[in-house]
Amino acid sequence: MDIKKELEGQKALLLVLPFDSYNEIVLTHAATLAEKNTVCYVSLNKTFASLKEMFEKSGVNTKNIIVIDGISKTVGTASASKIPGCYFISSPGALAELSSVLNEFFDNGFDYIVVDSLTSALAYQGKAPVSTFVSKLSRQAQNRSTRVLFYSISEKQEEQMDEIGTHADRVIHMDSGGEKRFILQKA
Amino acid sequence: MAKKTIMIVDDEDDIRSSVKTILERAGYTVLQAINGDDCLKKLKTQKPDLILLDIMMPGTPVRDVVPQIKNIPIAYLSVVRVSEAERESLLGQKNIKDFIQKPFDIKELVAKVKKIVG
Repeated sequence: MDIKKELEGQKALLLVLPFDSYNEIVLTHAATLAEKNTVCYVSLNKTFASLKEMFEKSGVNTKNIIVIDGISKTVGTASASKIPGCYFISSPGALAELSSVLNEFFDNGFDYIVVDSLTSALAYQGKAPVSTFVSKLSRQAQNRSTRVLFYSISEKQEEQMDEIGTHADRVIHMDSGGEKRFILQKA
Repeated sequence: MAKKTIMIVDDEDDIRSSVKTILERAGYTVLQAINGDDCLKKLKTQKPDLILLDIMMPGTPVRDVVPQIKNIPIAYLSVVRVSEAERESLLGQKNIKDFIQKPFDIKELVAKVKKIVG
């Protein structure tokens, strides 16, 4: 699946990925999106240091990416000093704090905001706050050039995720090969 | 010889029950806690030989839970990805003995538990 093409028609897209190929697919997408465009990458399950290693191994153009790291403070590995290209938030469940930081990236005209992943947010928050978060970002994207890409893991809370996905423009369930299994389109 | 006791701390029912089944089959007694707060509460009356601790759970963050656990080895069991340097740093903390990445291999999990508690 061509992720850029998919995002051309949708302002806010939720991709539901299988666990076994999750990281492989998100890294492929990151490489494609950041090749020529600016990306704000929200990581709720990989520390910035780990993500940086993964990006470098996968040939992702890190010059075009800013990371919001939502997990390092929870693990206790967040750097006390400022790191260029990275913002730390307190936890994967701190959705109000995350929304507030993301406002800046909308205002600065980033091409893509990637949220990896809603499954991690759902480990901390109920369905309602996660739905509100998705709804808010999706609405913000409607009036701007920024596209929002949400990820989730298919084996976890799938029913809840489909409900949350109704706040995005489209939900695509994907197979391990990174191809579409089926699509849920907003009415 | 008395059976060794392992406490699995995870907010996901399916993970707790699968780890419980695996470790019971390997001869261990298994206790369960649904998050860090529940773990700390249960440690007032129970003293496992090892705690398998998820990172991504609601409630008190693990960075605040771990310092409250005294004299019991801990192995993280998590989907969270950390860098090699971060892993080494975490393992340098006094009661952190391992970092087991989810999804885990059953034999590897049992081998790691055995290595820590015997």
